[in-house]
Amino acid sequence: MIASCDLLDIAYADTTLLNASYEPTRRFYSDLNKAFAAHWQAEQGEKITIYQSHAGSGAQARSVTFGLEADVVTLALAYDIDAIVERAKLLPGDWQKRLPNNSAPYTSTIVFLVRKGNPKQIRDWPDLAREGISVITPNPKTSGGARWNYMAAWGFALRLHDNDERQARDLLAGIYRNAPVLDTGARGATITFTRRGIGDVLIAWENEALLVARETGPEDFEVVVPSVSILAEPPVAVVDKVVNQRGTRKAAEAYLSFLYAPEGQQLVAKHYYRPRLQEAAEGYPDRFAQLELMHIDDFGGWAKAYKTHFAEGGIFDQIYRPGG
Amino acid sequence: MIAGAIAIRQRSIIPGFGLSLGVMLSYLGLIVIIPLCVLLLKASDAGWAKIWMELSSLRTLAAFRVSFGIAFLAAAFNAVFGFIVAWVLVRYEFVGRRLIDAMIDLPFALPTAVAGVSLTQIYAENGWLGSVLAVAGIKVAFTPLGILVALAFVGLPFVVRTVQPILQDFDREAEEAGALLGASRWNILRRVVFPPLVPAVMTGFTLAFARGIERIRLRHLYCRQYARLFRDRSAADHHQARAVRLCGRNRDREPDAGGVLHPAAHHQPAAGMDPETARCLTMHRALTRVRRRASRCR
Amino acid sequence: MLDHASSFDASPAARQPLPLTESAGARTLLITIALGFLLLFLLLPLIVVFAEVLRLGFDSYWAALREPEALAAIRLTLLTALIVVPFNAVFGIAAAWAITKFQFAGQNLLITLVDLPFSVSPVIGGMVFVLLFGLQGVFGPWLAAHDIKIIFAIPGVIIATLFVTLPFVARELIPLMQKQGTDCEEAALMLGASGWQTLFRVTLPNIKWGLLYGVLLCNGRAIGEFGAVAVVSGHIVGHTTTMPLYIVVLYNDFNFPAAFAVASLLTLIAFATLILRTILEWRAEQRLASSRLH
Repeated sequence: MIASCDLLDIAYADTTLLNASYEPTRRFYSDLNKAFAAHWQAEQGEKITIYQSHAGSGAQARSVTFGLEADVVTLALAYDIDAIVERAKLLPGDWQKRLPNNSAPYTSTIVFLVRKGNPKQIRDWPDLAREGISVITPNPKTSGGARWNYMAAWGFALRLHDNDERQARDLLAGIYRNAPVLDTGARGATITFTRRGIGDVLIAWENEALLVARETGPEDFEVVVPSVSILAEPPVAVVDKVVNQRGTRKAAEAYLSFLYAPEGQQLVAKHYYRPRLQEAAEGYPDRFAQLELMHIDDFGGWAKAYKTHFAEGGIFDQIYRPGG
Repeated sequence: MIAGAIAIRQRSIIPGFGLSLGVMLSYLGLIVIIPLCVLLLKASDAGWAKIWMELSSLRTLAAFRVSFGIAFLAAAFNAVFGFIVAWVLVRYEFVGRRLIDAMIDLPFALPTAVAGVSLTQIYAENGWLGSVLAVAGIKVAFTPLGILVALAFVGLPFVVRTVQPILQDFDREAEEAGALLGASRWNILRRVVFPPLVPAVMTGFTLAFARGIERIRLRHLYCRQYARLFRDRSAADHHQARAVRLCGRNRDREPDAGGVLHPAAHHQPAAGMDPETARCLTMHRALTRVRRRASRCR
Repeated sequence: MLDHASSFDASPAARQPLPLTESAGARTLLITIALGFLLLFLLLPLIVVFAEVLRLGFDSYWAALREPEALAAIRLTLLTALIVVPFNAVFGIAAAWAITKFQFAGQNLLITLVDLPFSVSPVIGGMVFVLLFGLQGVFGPWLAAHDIKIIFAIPGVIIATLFVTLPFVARELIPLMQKQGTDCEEAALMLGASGWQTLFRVTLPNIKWGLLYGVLLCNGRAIGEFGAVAVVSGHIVGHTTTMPLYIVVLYNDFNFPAAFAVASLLTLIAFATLILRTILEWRAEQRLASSRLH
């Protein structure tokens, strides 16, 4: 009775894909899906509909593990896709090598968003730990963006204190002590900062910050670029078990390839992500700040970083006491 | 189990026991019992439970630590005005009273998604209250003010609905006695009417306050104390049933009313009310009903 | 008690009415204060919703509601309510019948079980079904093998809502039918009616206001439920997002006008629910009053 009948599905014969993504990519994929649908129609003569699901990156990984039938996952960090591999074995362990650039067709980084005029004079990471500053950042336990935020801060702190872990911890503890709330996702944090008027500074994805500063709230907010940050590589992958079952492998792989194609890369840059293709970036010369970028491999890769910082009892648990 | 129940139950000529019990048990079993048993089994995997709670705690209302002071202020505000509202609704007659009485439940009936979105609009930086005040030339840090409005909205029904039943059952004889003995209205109010209402107002204040600071643990604490104070629900029901039997069923039955004794007494926890608060209010109402029945037996 | 008319004191003071209520001036003032407070704090969020909608303009309002994703959300919400409410109503009647028309051991336990979804957080309610029907859950492998999708699909949304709204009708009917007792049913049976005839001709008319009221509450909650559905839906926009979920999706995408457009629909339903409830109570009171006169 309840078999595969999705009562609100459109015509049975059409191909559909489900893309499970993280929160800030909604507008980007909305545009991209339209472009890809047109491209697929032109190439294959077939109609394709792509459904989107957006939630915190960690939350999405768990949903997919528990059966969310996503043909592709486009999450915030490789670790979340590795978690799907480990817990549910829905795709092979070497998934990241299957596509170019570590399976990350676009990158971003972590910057600050402040109120127009920067009244609290926030310039760099140490300012976030200052007395009286209110910092908005999401919860690393659920949000991928939050984990990038944390690692960027950690990287800066280690550099500042010559790899002295204790002092680095103090700086991070100071930053998180200034956080009145931790939202479950990056977009939630953005809404808290921009819409609810809470906080003096938002630690955000560069694409989030640019979206607000240029489109949704240019009179009220501006971007502050710190001295050093981290190169965030949100990866994409085909979920083998699902596409095999649904027979959508061809479409899914074409979809991901489209992200690397010039048309896809144009949309990437348009939506404030850093494209891999140089030509796409040339269309927006002043958009992406030049700053020194660390890499997650500087910290031993995500597996090691996750275990050290975000696992139960890790450094984040040690420095952050909610309500305290 | 059904056969056992049939064997245990008293004889009755009414048919349908097997069918109704069967339907009830299978439905309950499918939707409530089995899933919750599974949860209990899997709860040993404690890590999952915690993670899912974190993942799923989507708070559309501002999920920030409301300062103690603001929550207190909002709750006090609600206590004062909520009391006035309850008084006016119970004691006076005016056009639209019944409609307004129903509207008190609006914060409960409104889906959380809508409440969250509209309340945020109110206390946002460039929100409603802000722009209105700016037009009036008032430049104030209106975020705290906006938060106050949001909390007042959310906590409003608590005071009103806890005071209303008490006011409704209030024995006017003492008031009349005071009047006949020559006391002024204000004195009657001050000495006879208000003192018994204080606990209800305090309860409402506490519920509104707990809701305001959204400290789940605190809310549990108060409700537990409240429950201890007013005894648990099954006891209240038990007393109610006993009172019904003592007074004789005829006195209490209104065959055509469909069970609506009185609007306020019939206010069940409305759609959308969170379970903790709903239980507290239900306990309170159940006990009020018991007291009323008991008093009629005299 | 003291009879005012039999008092011998004929002085003007004695002929003053007793101060049984506040002066007219005080009453007016209090009513004004109360209404003013309510207007400001109770109705303000609603005014906000509708003002935002008006600001949007009629055309944009309709356009926002006619977006395919919005229509899908509205259809899903309506579908959920259409399935959940009748099922829970039938369950409520059956449960109330079993509990109130008979005496047996374990009645209180059953009442507690019926109340269980009410005492459990909706998020837990949703999570329970994920743990039950999810891929890693108890029935997961079996469901996957038979290509049956429950969680992160529409059936999951409906089941989660069923769980959360289960007690509403039963909670209304049980005290009501308990109070009414079995006299009427016994009389009907002795006069030769069958069980079903008794149910439809005697019991149901007796409980109709309570039943309607419970249905109203159940409906309101089914339409507005957020927590449980958010856990099981998988957030697939245009497919498993109900109206409350969709409002948050729009809001989080900075699409405030559309969010308020959809929110206005839910607000209207909440309003209608409260108004209907008022009418029901008023009608019931009228009947009570008229039955007392006879």
